[in-house]
Amino acid sequence: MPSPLRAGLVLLILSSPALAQSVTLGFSGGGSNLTQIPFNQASCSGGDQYTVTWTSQNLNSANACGTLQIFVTNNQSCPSGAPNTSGADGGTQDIVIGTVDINTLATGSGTLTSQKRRDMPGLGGDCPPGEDITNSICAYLQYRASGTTSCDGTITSSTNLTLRYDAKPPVTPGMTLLAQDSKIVVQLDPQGETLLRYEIQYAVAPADAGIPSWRQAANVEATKSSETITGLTNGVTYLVQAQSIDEVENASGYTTPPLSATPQASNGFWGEYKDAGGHELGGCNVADAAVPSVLGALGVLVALIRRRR
Amino acid sequence: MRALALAVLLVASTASAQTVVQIKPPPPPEPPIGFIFELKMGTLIPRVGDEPGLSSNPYETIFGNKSMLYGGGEIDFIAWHGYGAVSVGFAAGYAEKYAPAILVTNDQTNGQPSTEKTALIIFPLRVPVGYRFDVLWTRYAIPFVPYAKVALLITPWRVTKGGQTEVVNGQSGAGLKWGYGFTGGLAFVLNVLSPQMAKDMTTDTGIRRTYIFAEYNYDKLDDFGKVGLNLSARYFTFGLGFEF
Repeated sequence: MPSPLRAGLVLLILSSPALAQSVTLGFSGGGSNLTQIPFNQASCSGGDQYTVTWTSQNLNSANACGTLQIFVTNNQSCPSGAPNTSGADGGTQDIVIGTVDINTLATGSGTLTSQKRRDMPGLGGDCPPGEDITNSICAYLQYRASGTTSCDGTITSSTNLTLRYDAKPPVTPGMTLLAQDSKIVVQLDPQGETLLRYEIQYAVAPADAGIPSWRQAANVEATKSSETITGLTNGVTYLVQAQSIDEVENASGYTTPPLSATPQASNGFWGEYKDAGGHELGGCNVADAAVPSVLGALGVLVALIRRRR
Repeated sequence: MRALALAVLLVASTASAQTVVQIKPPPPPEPPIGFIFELKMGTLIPRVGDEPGLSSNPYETIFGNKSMLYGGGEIDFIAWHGYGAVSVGFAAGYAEKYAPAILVTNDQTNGQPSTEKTALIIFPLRVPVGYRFDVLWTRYAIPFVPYAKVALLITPWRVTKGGQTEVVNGQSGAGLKWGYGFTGGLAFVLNVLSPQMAKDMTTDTGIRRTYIFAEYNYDKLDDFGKVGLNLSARYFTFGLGFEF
């Protein structure tokens, strides 16, 4: 290869990555891992806010055309073009939440003014019950590609940020009860929901049509599928109900009707042995005696091995 | 002239045949000491019902006549090798049996299986002294090695219900049993199946013998006759051993 051509190729390879232009969006304070803000009806009604940050690479007055537009669209992904303020995307107009001029863009990063979560096109400023709506936060900029004079290049954000309004309660969990000795094992099924936790209540089953006096059992993380209620009285019937809590604290409501179970005494091998008149007292801490025994025997063997060598 | 040439040829042929005699080197002498490592498994039923004064056999009540699955390992130091071999070692194992607990109620469900599981778990430890009659193999190439062992037994045990140590009237279902045991077994030396592979293994790994074995165990695990939980058992184990 002729030397000038080789030099040109090397220059092209080195310069290509440096010339890549990009715009990245993020949620303020959330780090790069936070790409979705889910919120519930209370957060919506309370006027909670969010803040978007932006970063740009290799964009300045030499190649950027117009201003960077950052907007919310009523869709789960961003369009490839400019924000549509005529109402075509998702049935409602995109909402522009900030613009960045060329000079500011050239500084490389910045932060938009805070926005109310409920000001997303899918909500129209309302906080309706029972809805689950996801909107995306997008960026759009026209630029001049290297070697051209026309502004026909398009940059959209390389990250997909979303706002999720979730006022839809999860379905009640599937539940089965296992009555055991002085305890009830509650087995739970999320029914396909993405949950944060379960909440369980139990009560002694009232006589006739009385009202149960519910007691709260320990909350169960959604990663667990069962919880044991202990300290119950054998022979007494208990009512148990559970509800699912999703990631934005929407509650499913407790299972209706509650399930019932009656703990019953049982004998394991040790109980059966004692009932049969066994004389063994047990209670020995196994580790106290076994570990020294094992270590002693192993010590003798190690000594023998070392002696052999 | 032709007869003379034939005679010379015959003499030369005989002389040539005598030069290809191959001398086989004698096998290396058995080293005076060494080690044996064994992996073994078997099934056993502890003789819980042998305890005096029991109104029933609780093992049968809970687990029926089903055996505990046992697995373990043993390492022996060959302390003397002469006419046979004397070894001392250490063995550790594990055996467990799970079954539903039994309901204790005042109604028709009494005696029915519970949804809770109960388990008897034992950790048999033993310090065996053994004699292996390996003369059959070392002197006569008969690939069988009968052996016998006597052992001191130490067995931690634990009973669980619902995954926790079962407690009855404040007494926890866990403890330690002492005892003694006898073992008689027969090993089949696998070296006989492929002597060349056995030699290569000796050169590469130091393992001089590989064998499979079957043995009968007579374990007396009752704190040397003290009345209490009796974990004695008589059972077979089978396994694979390496001598190095």
